[in-house]
Amino acid sequence: MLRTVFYGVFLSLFVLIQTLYAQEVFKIGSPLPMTGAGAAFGEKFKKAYSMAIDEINAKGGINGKKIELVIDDTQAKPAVAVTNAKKLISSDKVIALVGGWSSGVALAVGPVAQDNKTPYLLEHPALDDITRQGHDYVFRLQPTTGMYSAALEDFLEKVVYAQEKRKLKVAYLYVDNAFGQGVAKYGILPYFKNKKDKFDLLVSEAYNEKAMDYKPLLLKAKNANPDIVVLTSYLTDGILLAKQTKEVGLQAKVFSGTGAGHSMQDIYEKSGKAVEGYFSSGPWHGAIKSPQWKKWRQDWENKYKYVPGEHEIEGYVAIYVLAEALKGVKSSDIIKQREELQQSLKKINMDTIFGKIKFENFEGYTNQNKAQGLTALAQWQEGKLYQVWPKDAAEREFKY
Amino acid sequence: MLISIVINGLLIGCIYSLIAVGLTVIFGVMRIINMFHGDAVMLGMYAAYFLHEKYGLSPYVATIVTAPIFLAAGMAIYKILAPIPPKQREMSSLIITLGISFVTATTAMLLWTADYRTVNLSYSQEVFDLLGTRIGYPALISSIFSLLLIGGFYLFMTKTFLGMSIRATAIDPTTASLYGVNVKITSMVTFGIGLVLAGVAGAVLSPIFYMYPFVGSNFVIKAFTIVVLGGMGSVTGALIGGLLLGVSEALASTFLEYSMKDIIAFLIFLGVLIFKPSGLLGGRSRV
Repeated sequence: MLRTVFYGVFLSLFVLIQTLYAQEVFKIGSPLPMTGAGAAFGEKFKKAYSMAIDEINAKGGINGKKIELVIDDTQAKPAVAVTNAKKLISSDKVIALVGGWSSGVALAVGPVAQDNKTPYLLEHPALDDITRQGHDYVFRLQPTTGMYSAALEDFLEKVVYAQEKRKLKVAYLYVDNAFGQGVAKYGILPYFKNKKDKFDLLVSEAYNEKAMDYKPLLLKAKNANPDIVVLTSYLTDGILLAKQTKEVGLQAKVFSGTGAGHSMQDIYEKSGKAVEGYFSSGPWHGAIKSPQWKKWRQDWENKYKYVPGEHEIEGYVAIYVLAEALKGVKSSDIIKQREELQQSLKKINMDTIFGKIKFENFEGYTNQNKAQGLTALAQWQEGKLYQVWPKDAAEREFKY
Repeated sequence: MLISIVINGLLIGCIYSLIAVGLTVIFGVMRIINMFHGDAVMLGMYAAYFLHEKYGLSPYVATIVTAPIFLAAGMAIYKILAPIPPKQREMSSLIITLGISFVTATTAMLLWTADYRTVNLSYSQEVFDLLGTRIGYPALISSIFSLLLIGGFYLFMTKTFLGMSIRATAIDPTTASLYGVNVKITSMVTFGIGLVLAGVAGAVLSPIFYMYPFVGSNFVIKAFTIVVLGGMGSVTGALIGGLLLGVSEALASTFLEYSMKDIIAFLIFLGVLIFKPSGLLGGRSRV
């Protein structure tokens, strides 16, 4: 008898503590590569999320509740990420998922989030297909791969073609993962196909990101004697390509990356400055002329001692978008909370240091931020990446 | 263009060979499947990186400093593997070295973070012209250095007493011990030498590749392919296998559709295994 009472009290206390605790925090789960080849990126997002969460919690959290981050290591493998996502949803009981770094991971996690009716906010995985599956629980705040090259295309036509006044030869090399295929399929390839009168795409090749030698590929490009070389690369392949481009003596009027590796400070030093003069077209690094952005960048440098780029601002803003949406979550049951959050995300219409964020359904996309004006062309000049196009968002004059 | 592509293929092939040589020796002599090999290459890269950053040592010179450390580490790891009875050796060693591999890579990440690093030498972007082919100095030096090392190692295996003991042990440990070879010590030293070669390969790679704690997995599969292709335990086999892989990859990536590239390398591999199951220069008595 005594024992039953004891157990009863113990059990109810346990449940009470659990529910009390559950009401104390909003848990946000993130499947991130913390080990393996993508670990350097996992670390960037972890820093970005933590900074935003610390700020929000310091101001008392949302509706009196703090936000807690739960990271699970994907090793950048989609199959592992599926397990991570299931664990975060069912065992950690997170209210939402965020991030994932790579398109491959996000493509795998999206259906898990949808099936479990858990909102999943993407801030970096860019492959178009992810928001083209009709998943109403999957949201993306940044431009898709198809939008990455928009600023470059504009620049090539209005500046390079306008000056040269002849058909220009183009070589395009892209990494063969989900991201690279996305930029190629939704951005670069259709563009050059439509503009056959102005550009002649002579070389278009996918490559393996783990290859040790890109010289055969670069020699092939060199043989075509291109005016424009476009590259879609991650960091390590981008470094090797830049170094080996110099080695084989491949020359062109314009070298341009499409974000990702070519927008990271690391590529400059690690390629031995080989990317000086390269352009990079991709998600911009925020509303760089706004005072809020300047303050954020200063705070970041003070805290982490390096200059943030697209990953950092995307991660940071994603948490603020979730925080804004969490204001609409009133119930205490996790399943209801997730539904409320999804409804609330649908209504988001906010101005952030990354730009305007509003999730819309259009042209086959679901819950995709149109991200108009959120891509820009930047150029490596004396070791720093400056926005140079479109003109009204330029920090510096382009050199070409 | 064809000449340039073949030359480039040969250059990278030399480095593939150097990575594979250490592996083939360990496998040929002791039947140990060393999954740690790629991580030893990674450690060699980091050692070269830090010696270059802190003391300005050239990665090639740095190998003199790191070689004794790799030798000692290899011998220590062999101590762990030695008690496994020969019959279970292949499977057990695979699992144990895989474990050591995980621990090493993760420890490397804790110590040095997951950041990517490269060694940029003062002559990183200088170019040498060979038959109209532009070759970067680091790539050229790394390849020649690899070739010299493989050549030196071949001489060591054929001309010195220790080398011959290693080969004798590979052919038949029991008979070797009857002829006065201390099999235990020979095996231990062989493992050490295998790791030294991996470490040196890392140093040689550092100016032309990049490093991060898990980079080792990039090399392991390639190295195993070369070892099997060339014949397990054969030094010249590893050299030829490496060069063959380098050139066929280069040719395939220039003249074939992207999706065909990997198929070619493995078609060659499959062909060799079908027509000569022991590898190009297989058979345990070869060097």
